[in-house]
Amino acid sequence: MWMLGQFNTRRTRRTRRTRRGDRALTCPLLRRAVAAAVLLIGSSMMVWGSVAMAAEPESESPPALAFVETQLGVSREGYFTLEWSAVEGAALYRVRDRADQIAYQGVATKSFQSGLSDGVYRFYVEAIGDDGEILATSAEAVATVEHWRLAPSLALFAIGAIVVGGIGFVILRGRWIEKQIATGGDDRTSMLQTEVESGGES
Amino acid sequence: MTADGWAEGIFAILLFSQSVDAGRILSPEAGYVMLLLFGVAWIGLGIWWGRRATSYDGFAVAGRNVGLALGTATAVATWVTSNTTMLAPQFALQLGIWGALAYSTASFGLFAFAPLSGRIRRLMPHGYTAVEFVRRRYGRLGSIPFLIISLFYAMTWLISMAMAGGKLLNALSGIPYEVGMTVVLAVCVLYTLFGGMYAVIGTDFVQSIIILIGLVVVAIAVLLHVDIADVHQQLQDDRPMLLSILFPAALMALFNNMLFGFGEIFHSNVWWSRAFAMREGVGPKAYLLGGLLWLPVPIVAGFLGLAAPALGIGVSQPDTVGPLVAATLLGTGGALLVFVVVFCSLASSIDSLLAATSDLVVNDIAEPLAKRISGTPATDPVKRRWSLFAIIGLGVVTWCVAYPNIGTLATVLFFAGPMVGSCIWPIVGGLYFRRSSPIAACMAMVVGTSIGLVAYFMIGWFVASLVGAATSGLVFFIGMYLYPDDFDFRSLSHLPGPPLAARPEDGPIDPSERIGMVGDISSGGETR
Repeated sequence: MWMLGQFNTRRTRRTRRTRRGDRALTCPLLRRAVAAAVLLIGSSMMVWGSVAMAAEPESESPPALAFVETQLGVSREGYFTLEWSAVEGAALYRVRDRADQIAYQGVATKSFQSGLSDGVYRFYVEAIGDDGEILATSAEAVATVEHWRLAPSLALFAIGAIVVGGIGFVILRGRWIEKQIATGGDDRTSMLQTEVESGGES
Repeated sequence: MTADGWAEGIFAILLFSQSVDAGRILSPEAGYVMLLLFGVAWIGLGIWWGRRATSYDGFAVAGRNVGLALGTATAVATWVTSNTTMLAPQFALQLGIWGALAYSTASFGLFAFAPLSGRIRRLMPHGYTAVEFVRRRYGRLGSIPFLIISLFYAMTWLISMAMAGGKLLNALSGIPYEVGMTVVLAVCVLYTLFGGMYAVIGTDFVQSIIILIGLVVVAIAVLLHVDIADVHQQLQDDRPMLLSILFPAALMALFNNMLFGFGEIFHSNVWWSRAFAMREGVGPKAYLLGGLLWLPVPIVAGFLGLAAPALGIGVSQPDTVGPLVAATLLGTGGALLVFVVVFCSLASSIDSLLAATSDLVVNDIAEPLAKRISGTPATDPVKRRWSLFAIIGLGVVTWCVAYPNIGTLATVLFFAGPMVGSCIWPIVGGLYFRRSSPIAACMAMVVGTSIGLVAYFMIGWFVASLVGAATSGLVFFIGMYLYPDDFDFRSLSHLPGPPLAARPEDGPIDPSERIGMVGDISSGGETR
């Protein structure tokens, strides 16, 4: 799938980057310097974090609801899947588009969208509680639909028709010749035909 | 508890139990009861039918005496896979009306295979597998890539079936994926193990009747519940591309799917083993009838996918849209019906694959290896025993790969598209052209698969088989022109053994001794 291909490309780039990083860390001096820096930054962040947490007043924040991917990239087939995080206590989820129309309503944390024309589509998702109240609302996810061009698609359609026609022709021609042989044909072929076509061992 | 009371209890569980999960139509209890009932039924029937499988010929090709009714039923049941009931609606939801039509073109594969099956049966009266044909027709050069493709495809199909079982049971009743997948697979392994091809074809007969009745009921019920004008209007407003004639990806998918179907049937031992199992003259009629009966199935299933948006049914996973729509529209009864239909279609495909792939393992891997090591061919009882090990081994491998539930069904299955597409010409040419040569067949499969896979990743699954088949066809004809062979079709009717051309004492085949087979007709001064 095209989406799969895109994902794989992204993953490969990330892997390459990581490998370059691995090579850089093979130098012992550099490795020690990086370790010291990480330790320093980490300890100071821990101190800052504990101070900040102690200072923060206790309050009930709404449960987090977010799309797994907010930028879905370009779909050339007009379909894609939106996926979001689960919210505790949610009885169902409702996905809305920019015009506030419901694009999905159900219990799953995924929604499959298809059949869309070229354009940019924006969605947000709401987590709905048992009594119908909105527990949380996500930020937007954006998907772009840009269909394949028609000319190459029609060219592939024509190639497919030619290949299928060719296969059909070979089979029908073969069947026709088999019938010709079976019903007589010339003496040589009919004699030899009987020997093999019956499956007899010669 | 009396029989009546027991039946009432079951009925109550099935019809009135409330689903624990708000998203499920059936309760897990109902799902487990259905699994148990059908599991026991299939194993029982498999054992009963399989009692005739005393020899290896009986176990592998049902004694080569299958008649028209059973032959047609097994073609329909095997081709109505869970992919038909789950992927056809997915196709419609993804690619619209073209998608549903594209899926139904897979029946053309059965039509095209009808004459081929007659020829296969006549050419190889003692044959067992498709790989055996390729080995004897093209030697090792052709059989190695073909065996790899056949095994890859068979395993992919088997795994996708097992995954479909787990997903479907989970979608309908909330039975955990791992449990559903394991039970469906285990049931099929057990009855195939006991009865071989006899059990497979016997259960296929019952399963095909259930599938066809179920689909007719679902189709009528859905049409009664859904206003087609509403569906059209809703799609026009919200998902216009699903109705568009010029939907680029769908246009590309039409012939791609047809060629995928051709490739699947032409190369797969599932279909070859049935061609060998049917009585002489039955194959062409059975495949033709099977194709006609199968043709409307994906159109009915596809309509469920198109109806989903109009009915406001939230689709989270496209491959479960069909069962969900039917179950949502028809309530518990519909859910049960869908459950039964899909369970039958799953079982009919899994058992066929297990039997046909075990034939490949025994005849094309184990036997040649054993012969090379010991110098003597394996006896019937030994091959029968190897079949049992092969079936169990295939079941275990399938379970291990299906367990993590990776990827959608379409992704898993369509990865095999370019591979099977590239086998079309080597098979058709191998059956009809004397000049088809090992190098042409090998190059066609290797180049077709490679370019098809490139197309799969660069463009999409909807062109992979098409590109694979077109490229392999081109390479095959160029190879045949540059390196023509002079094959003697008589060699195929011998009892399985090394190809005639491989024996040096036979010397080169004298062209004047060739028999009058198809492909021997002179055309423009050249024999094709």
